[in-house]
Amino acid sequence: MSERRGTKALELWCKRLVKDCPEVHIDNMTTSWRNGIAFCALVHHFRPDLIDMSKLNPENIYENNKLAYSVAEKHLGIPALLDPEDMVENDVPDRLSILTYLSQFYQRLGHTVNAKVSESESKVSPQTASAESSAPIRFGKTGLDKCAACGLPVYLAQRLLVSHKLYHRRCFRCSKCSGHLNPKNFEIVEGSEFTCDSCKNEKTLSKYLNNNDHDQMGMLAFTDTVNETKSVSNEESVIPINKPRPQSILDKINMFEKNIEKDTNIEYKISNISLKDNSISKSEELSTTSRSHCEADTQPELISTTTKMEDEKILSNNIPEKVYKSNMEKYNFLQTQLAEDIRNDDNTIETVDVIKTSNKDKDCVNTIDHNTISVEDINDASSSVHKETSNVTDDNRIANSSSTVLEQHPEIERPPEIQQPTETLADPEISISVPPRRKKQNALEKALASAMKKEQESKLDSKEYPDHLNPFSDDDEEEEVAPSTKKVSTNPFGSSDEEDDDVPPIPQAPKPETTTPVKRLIAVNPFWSDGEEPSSDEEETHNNSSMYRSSMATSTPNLPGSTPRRKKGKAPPPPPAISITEAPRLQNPTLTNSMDDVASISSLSSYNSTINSDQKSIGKSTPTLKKRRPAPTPPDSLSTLSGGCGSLEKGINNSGGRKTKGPAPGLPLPERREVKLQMSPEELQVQLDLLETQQLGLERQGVLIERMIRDKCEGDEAETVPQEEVEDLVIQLCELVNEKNDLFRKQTELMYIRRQQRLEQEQADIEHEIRVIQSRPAVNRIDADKAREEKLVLRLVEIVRMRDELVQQIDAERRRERQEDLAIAASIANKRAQRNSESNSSSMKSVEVIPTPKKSKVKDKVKKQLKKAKHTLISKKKEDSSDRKEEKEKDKEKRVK
Amino acid sequence: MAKTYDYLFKLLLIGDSGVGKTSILFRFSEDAFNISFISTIGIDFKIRTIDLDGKKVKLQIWDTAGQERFRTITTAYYRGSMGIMLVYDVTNEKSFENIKNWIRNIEENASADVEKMILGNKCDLEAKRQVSKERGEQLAVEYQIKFIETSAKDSLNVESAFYTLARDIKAKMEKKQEASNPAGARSGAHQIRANEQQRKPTSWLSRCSLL
Repeated sequence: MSERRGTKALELWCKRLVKDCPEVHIDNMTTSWRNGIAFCALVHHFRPDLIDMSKLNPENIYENNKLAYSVAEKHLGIPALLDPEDMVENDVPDRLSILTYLSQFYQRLGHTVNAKVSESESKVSPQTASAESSAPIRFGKTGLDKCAACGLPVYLAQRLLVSHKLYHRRCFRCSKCSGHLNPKNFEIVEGSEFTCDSCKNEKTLSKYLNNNDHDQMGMLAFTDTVNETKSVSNEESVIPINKPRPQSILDKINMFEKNIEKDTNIEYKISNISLKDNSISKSEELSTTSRSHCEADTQPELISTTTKMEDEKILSNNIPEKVYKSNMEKYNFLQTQLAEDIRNDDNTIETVDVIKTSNKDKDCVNTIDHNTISVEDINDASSSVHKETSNVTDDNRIANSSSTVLEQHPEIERPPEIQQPTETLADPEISISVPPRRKKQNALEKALASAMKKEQESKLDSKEYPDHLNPFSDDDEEEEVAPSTKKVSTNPFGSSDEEDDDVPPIPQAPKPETTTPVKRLIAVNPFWSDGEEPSSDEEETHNNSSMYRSSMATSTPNLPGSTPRRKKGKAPPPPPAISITEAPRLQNPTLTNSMDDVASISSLSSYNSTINSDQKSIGKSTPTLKKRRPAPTPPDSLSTLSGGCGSLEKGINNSGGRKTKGPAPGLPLPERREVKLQMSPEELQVQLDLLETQQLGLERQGVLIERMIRDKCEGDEAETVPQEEVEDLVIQLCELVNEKNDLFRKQTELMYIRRQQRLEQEQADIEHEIRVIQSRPAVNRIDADKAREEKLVLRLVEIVRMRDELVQQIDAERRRERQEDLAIAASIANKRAQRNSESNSSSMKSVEVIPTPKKSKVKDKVKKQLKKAKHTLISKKKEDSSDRKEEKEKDKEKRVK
Repeated sequence: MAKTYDYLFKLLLIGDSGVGKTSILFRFSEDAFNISFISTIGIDFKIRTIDLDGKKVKLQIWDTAGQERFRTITTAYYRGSMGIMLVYDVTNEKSFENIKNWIRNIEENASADVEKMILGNKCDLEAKRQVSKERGEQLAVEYQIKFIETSAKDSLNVESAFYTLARDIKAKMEKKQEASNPAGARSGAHQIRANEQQRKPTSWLSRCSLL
């Protein structure tokens, strides 16, 4: 009958597909599928090479089903909605679930199937249809399966099967950062938790050891892993939902001190609903401020190598608490600011929503709003709100994590959690993160200012954020934090004035580092006017701080794109005295042809430039210096020198906007390579959030529909409910699920990109770190340095390998899709050949064995002929679904091209 | 997932330390040049997608460290490469002499049918040239490999070098495909290609109505 057109058609379609497997009989959409053989036959139809039908035993219900689902997921890209255990447990499997799962097959692969309906078949179908029409459709009542993470029932639209466990899609998240996980990008760590790729990296980063990479990339539904339980956090997060929005922000601030995770749930739940961009920017603000503060704390870089280890140990104990407290202060303050802003923004929420989202999203948002305000309506609504809040946490985490370098995570996450050991955290953070963070931070600040739509961020930047909490505004704050290091740092440089050091101690941060060489190189720079050279008198007096300041003052105006830097100079660039004393040594460089010793070359070049810049000040020694300069240095270092000009200037230009901290360096530290980002983290996050919202909306709708279906079928009025309605709902549900799958795939794409970018950033960081170590003179290098360098190199190679894996994975997916397309092409060609042959012969023998594209038009006509009564509702639905299908097809077309 | 490319080729850059491998890659992938010498640590790769005869080809170009200490790391990446560029510095005789060692390296570690190409880099430094173009060409003829002189600094021949290598790889790949497929399928494939545009719209549209 027409009311079962949708599901019946699906059944017919499946029947046709498994025709070549004689032992498979599909009589219904429940028990016929139970033993899994039918699913295997279905998969076999598309990829005979993947499943060997002869080896299947109908009695191995679990194995058959498991095989079919895993193969379909892995090779055909069909998400596993069904659980093999359900098949085993229930004599009559859930019809709705099976229908939904099969509809995914249809949606993905239906176009490759011969749609021609043989007359014999068409004759059969009306009989069967009429036979079945008498009995109403019954959806087997299976209790809805529970999510392994939160224990709540999982509806079809929300299903996510991972490693034998069923989850809500939204419950499946990283245990560290609560970011959403995709089955493709998660990692099992320590046997009982999931972490996302970035958190896993972060962990290994802190330890610089190779983790056990359990199928790092391609985790699918069927692997041997253990699940996690997150019921606690979800339950806790429910509590604040009932409060009205603006007030809850203040509540959040209070609750923040108790349970920071809870707070982020609430705050970002709200921001997620209507102020995504704002929240992202603010979370980034937070992260930048917290980062900057941590930078201030992590100054051991200043210290010479001998004292570095000691200080690290000292500081590592102090820093985390300080970071935590300072973070808390800042966060609290930021919260109050946010509260005000959000109140202001409440009026603009609606407009924002309209602007930002499509119709569907608007519905989602509206439903979300509705649910937030009045939770009591539907039980499921509450459960979905649960997920929503937990989802917000994800966004928070994602926002945080995406906007920060991998090493940043510990700062934000660990102070709240405090459970993690902080020493190991501090150790690598201190050593690695400091130099690159500044650059990124400033780049990030720039991006924030430019990319964000709202103005509040800039307001926050300049006006609302009080100076005393502004990490950039004062030196004192940072100095107080780590006074010991500063003092020590000034000493080595001062002492090196007299020492026979080729290279002054390593500076603290790249910004001061790069400024100094620029200052020195400015003399070589044709654009530098002579009159503004750093005065020799100041340098000769060895007045460290003043010299630095003066040089800074003179050098800044001439640097294109440079921004006013804070005058915190403590260690100055090598004064001419050094250069004079060391000039003779220039004649004996041991580094001429050894390309390996980059550091020496760069240091030499810096000294060359110093000499250059000081030529005028150093009267008599100048000519000799001049002469000596070209001689000892190999051609490479000369080119390095001039190249260093360009590169360092470029470095300055890139980092314009950064504020210097800490003592000035003496040596041009190797600059950190800038990573070209394909998509800015903010934009990425925005898109991910958007997809998340859309998926949420679809899931919610799917949940409602499923409930309606089940109620109608299992309720008391089951007999009286018209079957067409149920059919429609089923159709709707299937479509919803398919749309959600599409979104899920897009999300996977974005996650790939995000992961790629993260890895590249991390790689740049580690490279920089290695170069810093390498740039230290061999004399000063200690074994710890060498060991560290080795470890870093290994880590670097590991990261490159991970990036490669990503590329391979993307390629594998592409190849799979290409195979599908080839199947289409082949089937089209076959169809044409078939048509040609059929035009000759009159027989209507269907050639189902060979997959050919469906002649849907023919099938439509046949179906219309078969079904006499047509409800307007059904026909309307058909039009709607055909419209949607058309859109999807157009999308696919575009993708193919 | 959006299909953004048709092929993925893995290329490898090898050669002595300091000859300009990273610069060549940098020039090709980001069209930039950095004169300062920064030794590559271990290994790295960059990606760039190019258009070759109407097909999008994604090039994953591996950049190896020339230093001896990273030799074991870099050697591991020979195997998966489809094309290898041997780079020497025209202003450095030693690097040119080492080319034959590098070729031996390839023979030992890479797949047998890998596409090779010799690049003489830094050809802009005419004043310091130590290896003439003829010598380079002669060496290439000796090994039956293509030869190009490039300058990453002046962006000379870098693009064409990569395009040529990619084209050679693509041609080889297509030859292999043709060899494995029977000739009939090829004509079928042609038919498919010709009619795909026409057929696809109708088949997509017509598939809509089942549910």
